[in-house]
Amino acid sequence: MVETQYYIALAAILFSIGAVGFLTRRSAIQMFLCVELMLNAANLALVAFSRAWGDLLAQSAVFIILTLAAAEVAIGLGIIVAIFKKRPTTNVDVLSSLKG
Amino acid sequence: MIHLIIFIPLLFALIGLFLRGQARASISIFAALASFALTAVVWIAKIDTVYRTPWIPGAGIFYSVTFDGPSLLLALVATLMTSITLIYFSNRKDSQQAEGMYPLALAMLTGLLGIFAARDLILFYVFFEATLVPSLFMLGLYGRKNRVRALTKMALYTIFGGLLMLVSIIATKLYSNSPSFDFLELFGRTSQLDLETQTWLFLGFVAAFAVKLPLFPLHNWLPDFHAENHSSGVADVMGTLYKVGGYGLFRFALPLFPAAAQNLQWVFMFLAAFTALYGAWIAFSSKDFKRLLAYAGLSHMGLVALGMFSLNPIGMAGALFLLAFQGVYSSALFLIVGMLEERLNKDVQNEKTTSQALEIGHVRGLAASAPAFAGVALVLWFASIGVPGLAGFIGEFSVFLGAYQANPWATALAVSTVIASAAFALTAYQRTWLEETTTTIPELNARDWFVLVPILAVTVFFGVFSGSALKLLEPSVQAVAGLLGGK
Amino acid sequence: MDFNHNLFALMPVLPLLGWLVLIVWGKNMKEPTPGILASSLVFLSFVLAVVGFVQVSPMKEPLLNTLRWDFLPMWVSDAKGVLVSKPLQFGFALDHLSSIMTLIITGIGFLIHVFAIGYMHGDKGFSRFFAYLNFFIAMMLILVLADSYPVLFIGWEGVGVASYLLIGFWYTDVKNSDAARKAFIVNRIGDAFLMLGMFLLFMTFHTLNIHEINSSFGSVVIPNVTTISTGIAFGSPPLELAALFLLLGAAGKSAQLPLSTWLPDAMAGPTPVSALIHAATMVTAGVYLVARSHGIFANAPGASSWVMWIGALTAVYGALSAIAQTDIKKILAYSTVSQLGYMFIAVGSGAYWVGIFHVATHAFFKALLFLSSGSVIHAVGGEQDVRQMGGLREKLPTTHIVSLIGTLAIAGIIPLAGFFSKDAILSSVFTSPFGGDFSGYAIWAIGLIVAFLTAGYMWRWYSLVFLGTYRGHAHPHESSSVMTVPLWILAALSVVGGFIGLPHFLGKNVNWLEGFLEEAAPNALGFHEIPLWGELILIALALAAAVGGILFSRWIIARDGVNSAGWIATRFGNASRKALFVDQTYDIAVSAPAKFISEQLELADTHGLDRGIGALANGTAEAGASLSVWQSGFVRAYAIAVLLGTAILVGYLALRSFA
Repeated sequence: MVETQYYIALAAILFSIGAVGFLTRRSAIQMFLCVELMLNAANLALVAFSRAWGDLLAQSAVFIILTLAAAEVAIGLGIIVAIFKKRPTTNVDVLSSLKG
Repeated sequence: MIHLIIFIPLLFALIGLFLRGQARASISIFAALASFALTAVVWIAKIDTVYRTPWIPGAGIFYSVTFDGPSLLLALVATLMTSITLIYFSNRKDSQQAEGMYPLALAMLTGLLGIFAARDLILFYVFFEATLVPSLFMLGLYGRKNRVRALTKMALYTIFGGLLMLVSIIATKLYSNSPSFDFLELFGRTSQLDLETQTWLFLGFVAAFAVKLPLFPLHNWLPDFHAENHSSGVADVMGTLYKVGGYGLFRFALPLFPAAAQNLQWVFMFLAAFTALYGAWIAFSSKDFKRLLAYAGLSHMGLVALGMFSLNPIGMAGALFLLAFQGVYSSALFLIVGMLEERLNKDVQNEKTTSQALEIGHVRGLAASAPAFAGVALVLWFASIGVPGLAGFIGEFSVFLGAYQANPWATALAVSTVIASAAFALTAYQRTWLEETTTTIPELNARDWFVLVPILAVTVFFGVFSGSALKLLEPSVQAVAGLLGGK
Repeated sequence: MDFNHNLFALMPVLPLLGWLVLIVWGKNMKEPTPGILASSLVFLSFVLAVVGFVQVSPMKEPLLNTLRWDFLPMWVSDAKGVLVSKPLQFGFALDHLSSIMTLIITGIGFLIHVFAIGYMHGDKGFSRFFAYLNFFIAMMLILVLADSYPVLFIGWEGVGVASYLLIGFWYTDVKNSDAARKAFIVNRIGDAFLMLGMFLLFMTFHTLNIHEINSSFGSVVIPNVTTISTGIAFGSPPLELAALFLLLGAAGKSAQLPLSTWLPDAMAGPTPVSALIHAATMVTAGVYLVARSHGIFANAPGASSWVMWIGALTAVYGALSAIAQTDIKKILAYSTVSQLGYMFIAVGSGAYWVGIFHVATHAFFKALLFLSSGSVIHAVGGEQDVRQMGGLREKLPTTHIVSLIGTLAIAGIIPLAGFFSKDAILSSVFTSPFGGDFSGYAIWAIGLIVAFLTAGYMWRWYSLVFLGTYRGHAHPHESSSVMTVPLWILAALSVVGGFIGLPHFLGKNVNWLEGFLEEAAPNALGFHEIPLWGELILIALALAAAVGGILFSRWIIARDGVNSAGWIATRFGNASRKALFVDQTYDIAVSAPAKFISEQLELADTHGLDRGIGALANGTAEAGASLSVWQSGFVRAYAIAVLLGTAILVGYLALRSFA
């Protein structure tokens, strides 16, 4: 059986990739993918801990997160498409009309 | 039965949303009348069972409702006046342009009935705040030029006061170790609390009720609210019925925290007396009928608060009586102003002509062309300033009588309002209806009479044969006064 | 339901019915119908009043109606301190005192109704006028029949409302509307005090039933009451204070100082109104209130002496103001103020029957005088200035004769009605417990001076209107019989009315009125008899004052001519015409400041307080704006913030777990 710490390490690596990607990329779609990556890193950690502790609660939580994430992806992509229809770009640095 | 009464208006408000024109008006009036009829049945059949079922059991919140005496009296007035007001509104020429009034008024009625029926503090709070929503919508959708300002003011005052009450409600349950928010379970326990705790909790409640009453210096939203609302007066009537602060004091704040109430009695009695005089005095210089009525209402509410804080059974019974029946004649005065405005205003959409139509003394000598109209207005004004023989007197006199037993000085201050109110009411009346005729208006028509006759009948009948209404108030007042060690 | 017990309660119901009918259907009636309807209803009430009088005459206790209902919420603590609900009942009581009053109200009311049919002929508001008159009669009857103070208060404010409506009857004239409004507001000042009096009475007696309160003085001992027999002493403080409150209430309704200013203005109403409301009935309600509350006042000697003093000062004030007036009705108005002062002197001295006696005789001759002046005004086409009259003796023979009777009666010439009641007042001051000391003598002397002045200004009124030659431009004509018949009846009453209260020295039982009111309004304790020669001297002095006043007035008019220009231009004449500047003083000292404060408060409330709250709102908004810098709009800036924040949080937790 693979030790829990490997799963955690993998999750950490995935999360870091996602975080760095989110910070460096300008395309909204790429940033979106990075967010998903971070989310799933967290899911992986949850499942790993769940197995380690023998508690199924975390696994069921992951299921909920997965369904929610699916909905979120649909909405998020919808928003991006809507923005792209109105504006010529998905570059987030240009999209700053919510500035306070 | 009681659930039907409370929720029929809301149900029909929702149905009404899908209808237009006459159909919406008819179904709305029907709903209000049905609610009134059912309330009357409860009154005649003397149904006073408490209906109690868990709502959010984990948090100890119950759906607990009943119509006992004071609630029933207020509910009767609220349903009656809503019905009459909606009938009046459907007669207006401009009712087509403000169709949203019907469902909003009905939604408010449900909220009001909920406030009167609720016996669970959280349920009460929910109704108390929910009623605000349609009220704000009326102002926001159909108000006049500066409505946003008035709306912001009202919302800020009311929500802020309400939040303090919510904190108090939660703290009350916490400190008293009660299993639920139900009033009956709370009230034996809260009187055991020490004075300081009681005082803080009491002040939380009073904050909400003082805004809603309103009491000086938390009254500033009221004149703007009335002045900026739709000139028909529908929203003003609902707003007048929504002055439930005095009821809240009687039902919850005073019996829950008797020691605190006794301790702070003199402060609030003076504040209430001052409010009464202050309102009447300012009304004398008001240039606009809506503002005048707002300040007159402020003065009435000062008297209601005076009666409540007298902690004397006579004063409290008088305050409840006054609260109920000012809902009839003060509301009716708003309707009178609305009828007058409709006759004088050539263009409802035009801010300037509307202001002129509502200005006191802009036109004079109207009694010459509409003597019956003038007569009805005079009777209602006399009721409003507490001339005996009309419903206003019973409440006002009892408030004074009870308050005098508790605090003669504050009462003497308050009694001077009878002079000030006579001065402002008769001056405003004279400037509009009497003196040399500058313009003529059409006399009351059959539809107007249909609206005004029930109001006049109630105002006169309960001014003389007040016994039936007093019977409703007696047991509850005696119970509360007993708790407070009434003098 | 007991018919006999409830019959008298119909008295106010009938005119109230008339009011309702006339208000609703009056517009559709042809001219004399509303007047006839209203008059006959009042006549029916008068019949009921007579029946009630016969019923109640042999009784010792008041007759209570049995048809009652709860009116006001009331609670009293029982012996154990438990609250017991005891609502105040709406009920009527008829006793000897109210019986006399109902006779005056319905009797004179009926005559004035009949007169008004002629007087109001052709007026647009004919039916409205009679509706209001009926309403007034109903309210006045409620006032005198009430068995508790709050029910009395219904009538009390009700007559105020009727007065408001009738003074402002011709409302298109601003002056009339203003006068009506002023009357109502000034009355309300009195009403506020009357209310305070009731509250204090409830605090002391735990009831507001008039008869219970009055009878409680026999059985229940109020702490600290000293009896009146020892001269001026004070009753218990709450009792004295309550009596003072009632006095101020009475002063408002009866136009006594300091609340007297509304009555002369009230003459703006049609003349029958002035006769009925502002001379014969409503303004005597204050006197009735004091007599009705005789138990309280008899046990509050301090307040009673205030009643006397207020009465005396008002009597002088009214008489001085009446001297130089030029309006035919204003002279009579100030005269009414003065005569009401007389009544207050009587009830203040504790001789309640004397006050009621003067109420009755004054109702006869003052109603007569007002209706006569109405007849004159009617004849000369609406002119009211006495300088534009004169010489009407030949043109209006009937009016002239009845006016002469009225003038002599009010002046106090033997054997007309005014002589007996005025003499009774002056001697009651002398024989009362106050009689022995300074205030008694002073008030008696004031009364004598006022008698002199009364005769003087009334003779001036009579001679300017009827004697000499006609100075106006109209074509005077005598009024129709519907107006003159009531005048004749009132003149007859003014002649014989005094015989119901003959002075004592003619025999103990000749004074019918005193005996009749012995139960309902007994004299206060401590009256003493004076010897026969003393009484004769008092009578001689009073007569001398009356005759002297008339002669003096004749001399002045003969010297200065009709316009009396010589002395009216003097400073005294000017002060008299302006009613001693009381009105102006109030305007400057009360009305103007009250109005000013009101305007300032209104400004402050709509703008000042608003700005304060507004500043709070702006401050909040600015604080928010300064924080909005953080909302840069760059997604990655947010992301970094989130990440850094998370890192700091995680770092903190990690460090803490290590430590």
